[in-house]
Amino acid sequence: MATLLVVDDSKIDLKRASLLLTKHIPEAEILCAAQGEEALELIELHAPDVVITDLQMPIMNGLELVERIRQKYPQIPVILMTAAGSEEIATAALKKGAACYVPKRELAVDLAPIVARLLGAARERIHHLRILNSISEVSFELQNDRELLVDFVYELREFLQHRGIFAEHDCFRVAMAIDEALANAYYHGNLEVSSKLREQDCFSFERLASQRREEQPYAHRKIFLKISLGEELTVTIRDQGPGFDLKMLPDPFDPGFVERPCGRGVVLMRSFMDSIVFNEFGNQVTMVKKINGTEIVSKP
Amino acid sequence: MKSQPSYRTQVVQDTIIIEFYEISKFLQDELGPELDRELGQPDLANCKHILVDCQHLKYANSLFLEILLNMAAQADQRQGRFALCCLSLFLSEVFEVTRLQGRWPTFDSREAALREIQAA
Repeated sequence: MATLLVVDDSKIDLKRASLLLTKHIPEAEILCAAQGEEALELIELHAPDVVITDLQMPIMNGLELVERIRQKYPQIPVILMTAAGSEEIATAALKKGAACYVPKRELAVDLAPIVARLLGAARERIHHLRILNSISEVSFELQNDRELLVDFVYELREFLQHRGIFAEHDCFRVAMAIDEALANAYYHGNLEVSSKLREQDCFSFERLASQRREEQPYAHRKIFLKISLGEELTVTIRDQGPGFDLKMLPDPFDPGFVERPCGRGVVLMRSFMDSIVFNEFGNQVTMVKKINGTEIVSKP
Repeated sequence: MKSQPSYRTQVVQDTIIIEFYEISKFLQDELGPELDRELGQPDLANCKHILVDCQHLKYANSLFLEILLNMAAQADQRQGRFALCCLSLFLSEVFEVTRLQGRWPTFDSREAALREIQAA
């Protein structure tokens, strides 16, 4: 059953909004709060699906309440009820993360359909997450498209955060390791552009990469990525380039390393994952991160 | 491929402040050349110092570090100072791992950074 929280210091308006919601969304449980602190307590206790709040309230106004909810419960959408003349502050609330606002004079017409739409979106999100949470192994065949790869890293980080197998900080670390491995596969693997160009100037490297994106044999190469989730997260990334000599990787303990403009990707991968292993050709890397402190089994 | 607008520049006295936005998707492959060109524009070319404000930057990668190294080199060429402010915990860790921690002065706030840079 859906749970809705209505917040308003005006008893009349609170009653009106609650009755409207009860009439149009009879399956929902309606909770009521007369001010912000009380609303936050009810959110903590009942985790409502949607919060509908007045904008102008004493002690904690709607703007502050939106901010507090966004910080602690970013998944809960907030609808603002606004009186005439408060459009400016409503715009500020939208910037702070409110889902939308409904003028109080339009409540009878607009409130229920908006709440129903947000409830539908929340249900879809839950179904989506249930499917994502069922993944134990998944493979991708990615075009050598930098924008796609960057989007992929972002979505993967979101997925890891939703799945809750790592703390947020570790999700960033894992995402960065995968980001670096994909950048290596894209530039150095498939496009065969050497980091040495970066040491000359920042233009030559991008110029050659841009040129090769249109040329054969580079243009149609792909990146293969496999993720396994069990007691540990294992990510294998393979490109279709000729590979590289592992001995050519820069030594991070070399005194000149700090001043080098490039060569930090593999250092970051090694630091943020528990193990990384390249294949003999250097065109495939397997990275492992322990989940919840499980022991890692060393791989060849 | 055009990178998303991911920074804005501002001049305070003779310091260029480069403020990066939240870049959860760090699509900045062309950001280095783009910043290079912008720092050469007439209104910025005469500034000595460069301050990078990372207040809104939650995520970055090794390409971002390269950009910082390039900008630091530019500040050196101008005989100015290069500094960072408002680093997140994650960014600080990235600096530590890549041994760049301590390479440049870092400050908790933009105001503190400007005071220090301009007093030098």
